[in-house]
Amino acid sequence: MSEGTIQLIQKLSRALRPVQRIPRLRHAAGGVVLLWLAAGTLALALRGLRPDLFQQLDPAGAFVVILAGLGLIAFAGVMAALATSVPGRGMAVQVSLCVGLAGVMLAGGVGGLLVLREAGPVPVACPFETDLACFTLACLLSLPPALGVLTFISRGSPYRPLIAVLAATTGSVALGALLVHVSCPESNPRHVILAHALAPLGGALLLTVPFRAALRRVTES
Amino acid sequence: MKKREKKYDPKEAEWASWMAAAQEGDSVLYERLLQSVLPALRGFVGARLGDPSSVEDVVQTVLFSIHRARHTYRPERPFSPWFWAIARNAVIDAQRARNVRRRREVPLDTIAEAAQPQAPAPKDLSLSPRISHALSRLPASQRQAVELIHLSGLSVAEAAAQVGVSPGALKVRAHRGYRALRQQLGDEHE
Repeated sequence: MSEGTIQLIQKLSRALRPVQRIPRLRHAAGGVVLLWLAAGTLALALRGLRPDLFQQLDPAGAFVVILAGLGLIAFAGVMAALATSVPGRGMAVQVSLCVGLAGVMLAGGVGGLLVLREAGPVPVACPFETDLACFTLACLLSLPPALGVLTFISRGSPYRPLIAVLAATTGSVALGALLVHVSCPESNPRHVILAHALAPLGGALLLTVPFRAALRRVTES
Repeated sequence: MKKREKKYDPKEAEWASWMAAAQEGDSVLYERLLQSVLPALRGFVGARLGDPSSVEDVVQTVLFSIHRARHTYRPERPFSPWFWAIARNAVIDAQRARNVRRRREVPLDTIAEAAQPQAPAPKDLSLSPRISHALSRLPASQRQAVELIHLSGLSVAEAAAQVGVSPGALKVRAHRGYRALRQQLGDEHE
């Protein structure tokens, strides 16, 4: 048996070819942010910021809390996805997952409660089509950063690719939801909670399977 | 976990530089690196698996994984966390596979004991040419395990005593033999 291992080592050494190292995590994260900024600039140029954006910037208000929560989810999702693709970055993954969980609680929990409180007894009416439009836009805006993260994952060596893709989609949709949140003028609590604050979770449910299938195709080819 | 792993990596800086050289295509230093990590790797895997018969398999899996993931190592980062993460993942996979196998399979000695009549009649060892041929293509150790347990009707303990290995090791050999037989016969069938 041991001779087999020695032979294997010799075989692997003979088959050795120079390899291009995977980029640093921070460089990969920078690339993802650039892709997001490009998509965001285009989206905001077409859609514009919400008219009352500056009135909404109260640190204890629902708008800012949800914005912060989405930011945490985006950061954590992208970092977890990148870190799971490189062996030995388990600590970064764990920290990212904790930050992401805090982000979900902040955006969906605290932000949701604040939205309900701010809405008053008779909230502004909002059709379901608007919810769907914002959610779809968040998913669409997530595609460029998701592409960046998935490219890194395909070049890396994730131990559990499904978890890497799940983190990637959650983080990317959170990036998309951030843009939607600053550009959507709706203040209906259902809309803000479902289509903004919880969009990363819905997007992850929707996009993880197709992204995983795409990643499998890329890595197998 | 970290404390335990630290005792396995006294040559951290050396390993890191060898790995960096390997990424540039230096096969001599790569072979030296793999040879150098081998004893520590065997100790790590053996301590976690407990089953000596599968240690070498997992060690080889780790070596393959290192080879396939060698581009993910960054020289500015320590080598050990990268290396032991790959090893740990392989061990976890092996443990999971073993647990799944244990849940799915009935122990061979149980089957043998249940099937054993009061006065065991000699088994008919005549096999179809197809099965005989497939059996003859197995490695000697696996063929012997399959013949003793399945064809000669010995219990696992008796067969293990006859071969001079532990019952666990013999069961693993027999299992691999069955799997190889199934594959060969399936391939022929297709």
